[in-house]
Amino acid sequence: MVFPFDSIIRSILLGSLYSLMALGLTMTYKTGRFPNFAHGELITIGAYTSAIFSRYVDFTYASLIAALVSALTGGLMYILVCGPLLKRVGKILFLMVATFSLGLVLRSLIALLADIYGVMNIKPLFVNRIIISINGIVINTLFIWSLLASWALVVSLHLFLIKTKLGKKMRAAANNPTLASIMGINTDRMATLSWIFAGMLAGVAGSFWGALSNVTPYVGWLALLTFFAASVIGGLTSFFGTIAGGYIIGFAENLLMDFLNISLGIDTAFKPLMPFMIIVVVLLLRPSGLAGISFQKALSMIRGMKRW
Amino acid sequence: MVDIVGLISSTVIIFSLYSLLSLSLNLEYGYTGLPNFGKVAFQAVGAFVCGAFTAYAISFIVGSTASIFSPESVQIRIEFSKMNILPTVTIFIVSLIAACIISGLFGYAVSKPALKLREDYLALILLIFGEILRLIVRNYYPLVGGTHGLAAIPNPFSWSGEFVLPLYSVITIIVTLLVFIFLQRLLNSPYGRLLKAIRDNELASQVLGKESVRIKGQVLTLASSIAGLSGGLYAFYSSYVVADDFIPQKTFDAWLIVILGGAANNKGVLTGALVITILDRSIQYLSGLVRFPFEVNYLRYIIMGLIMIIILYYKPSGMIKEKPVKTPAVQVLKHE
Amino acid sequence: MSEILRVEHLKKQFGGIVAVDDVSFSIQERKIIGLIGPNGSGKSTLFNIIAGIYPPDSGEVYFKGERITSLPPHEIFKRGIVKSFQIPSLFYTMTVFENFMIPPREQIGEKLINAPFQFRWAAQEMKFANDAINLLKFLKLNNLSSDSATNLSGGQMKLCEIGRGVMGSPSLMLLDEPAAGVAPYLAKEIFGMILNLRDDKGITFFIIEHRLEIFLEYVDYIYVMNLGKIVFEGPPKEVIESPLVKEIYLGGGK
Repeated sequence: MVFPFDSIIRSILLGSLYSLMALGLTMTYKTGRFPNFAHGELITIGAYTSAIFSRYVDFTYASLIAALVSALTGGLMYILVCGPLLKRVGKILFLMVATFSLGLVLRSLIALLADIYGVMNIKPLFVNRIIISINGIVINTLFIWSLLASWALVVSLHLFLIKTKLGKKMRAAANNPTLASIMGINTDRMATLSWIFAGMLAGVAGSFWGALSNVTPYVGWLALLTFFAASVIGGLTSFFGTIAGGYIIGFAENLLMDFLNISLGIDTAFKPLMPFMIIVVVLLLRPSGLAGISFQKALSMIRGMKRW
Repeated sequence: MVDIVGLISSTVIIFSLYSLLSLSLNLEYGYTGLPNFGKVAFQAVGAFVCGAFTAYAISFIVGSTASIFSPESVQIRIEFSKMNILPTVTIFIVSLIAACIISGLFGYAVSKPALKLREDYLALILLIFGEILRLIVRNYYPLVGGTHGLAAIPNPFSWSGEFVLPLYSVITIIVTLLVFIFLQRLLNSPYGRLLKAIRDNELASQVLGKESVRIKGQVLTLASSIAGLSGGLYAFYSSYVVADDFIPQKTFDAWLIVILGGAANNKGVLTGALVITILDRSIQYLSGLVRFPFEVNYLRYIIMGLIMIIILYYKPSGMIKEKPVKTPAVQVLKHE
Repeated sequence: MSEILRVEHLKKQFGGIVAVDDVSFSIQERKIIGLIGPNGSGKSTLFNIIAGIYPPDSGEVYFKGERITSLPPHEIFKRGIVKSFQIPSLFYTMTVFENFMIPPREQIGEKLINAPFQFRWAAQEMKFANDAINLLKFLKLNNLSSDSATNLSGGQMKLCEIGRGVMGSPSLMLLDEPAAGVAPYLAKEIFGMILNLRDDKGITFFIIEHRLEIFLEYVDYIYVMNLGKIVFEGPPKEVIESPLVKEIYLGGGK
């Protein structure tokens, strides 16, 4: 049996992108305790921005612009819709419906514009060169870039939240808004920042996602319920859980699916079912997912085991 | 020359379908507080059941061995429904009943595990359930032809030629009225009060003796039945069902109608359904007159999405507010 | 006077905290029994266990001789126990009258099969409606019957919470701080109502109160809890003069 290198590589690639997308979702959930069903649109906007700008500037810069545009959109989502609604009615259910509606509006608007300008299905200008090709292991630039970009973002975000004053304020506002505001933290501003960061992550992810598959008005929405599973694995609140979830989903969709296809003959058309089933299983058995497991403790345990 | 009769008939039918789906959601969400984000799935079950049952039944009666998706079978169905009025109507009625029962069973089955979850998780899992159903049916050819769908589902009035739509619209509006009357009688009673109590404070209702979990399961089952009915009626109207038609946007339609019209108020829901039907039909009509440089459906959803956000912010109680349950006890109050 | 409630060696732990630590006692019917103790002494947990909201880790609860340990809340209600909540848990989208119409037992119209057919439940509904109106008059809330439950004042909400419980025809009512946060004169009114309800309907009351002075003249017997255990019991006079009780309250319970 051929060792499934391409499947593994694909799993890692998708895992890195899924964890980026899901991380933004987790961030906004932590802030308002409601899932943002319009998060997919931040990705779509990132994908389109990068695809369009990649025709004028280098793909790297196009991705940065995408990050900026999505970040801005994320902030606006909160400032114009979610924030005011949260303060006015506060019911989580209403916010869920509102974000779904917002996503619907954005998705339809993007489709409308894409239809007019004939860009319903485009690809960014990205030259995907093969860097390494040994024994069936094929690694190309997209893989390297996605992995590097996602980890760079994750690590810098993590350091920002843990080490900087602003980051600590953001965490405080997310963990306990009442206490934070008593301590003088402007929770509204912190929430807006969370949404801006979430948008930034989505923008980068969207840019690479567009390079991977095509860019259509629905890319983000189609991916939403998939990377949602990653967030759910993280209990919707845990950073590390979400990242782990992203890779779990990446592997489930690719390596595991290929395995099931070969061994049990399950049609690959059922690929999207994997993340859906994972969501159902996690929610029914352990809704808190991997949240609550202290990754710091796990890390130190692993370090401790190395001594043996 | 505009086909006035056709326009009115299709408007009535669409209003009926919207109403049925939304009344079913109102029962779940408006009265009992169950956030069903997967409403479309239960409608889909009804549509699939009616479509598949009708197609397989006719093939069986005629003795055909061809696949129900083949052009041959399509021809058979068209001919059959034109010539054999009574069997077609009987199949229509039987399949609708089957649709109600089977979608009700789905509702019951889903309620068992799902109702244990708290609100936002419940909404999410129902949404996912809808997508799982769509995916499985999409890839399971024998039911409704996967991505190709099942065509030529014979309307019980096919024999009437040009009177199909008007006659069918009478049926749909009667069914809608009957369901509305039934729900009004059901909910203006201690049962309606009970649902609201569970919605307002489930723990308090349990402490006051109510078996809230069992009741919620009942509600989901009944509401799913009604949704299945709407799905079945839709199948015969459009004469074509395909899995990919039943997407979360349809659930959104129902939510918009319920919130716009007024949750826990069936009259409000009908009003909301009327508004949305008019909006829908207007855009369709407009697209026939004016040449838009884009697909009109996009505009439709932009408008509907914005309406939803605006209502949620300014008037979440909807156009017509919720009123106390109307039982004979109200008379006692009046005399005090 | 026979025993109505008996609790034996109840234990309940949450994480590392033992909320209820080997509690046993017995309550006679038609009495008004008090349960006092500082915050965190386990009083509400004890009530929740009796009401079936969560099961004890160990121990038994007997009601009128029947073992009711770990039964779910609606089964507890059916046997005749109603618990009221510290923070009024009224049905806030409904009127006061509707709130009172929820608890009556075995409502024919609450069954799905019967509900659409008004003739089946109309007569019973009228009877309950009259009971509700009479109770509302008794509690002096009748002019608020058609008001939304959100329009009540704090004290009225408390009365409504109690009255609603009474509509469930209980033999035993567990009241969790029925007069908390309410002005003293109103508290006296509430306790006066409780006495009337005991005399009129024969209900036994088991009441948690945080402030001793409020209900001294109303209760027959008091249990004192601290850190999950019952540390003292007796008639009001003995309790108020007990140095141990004084220490618990003045010393902050530690």
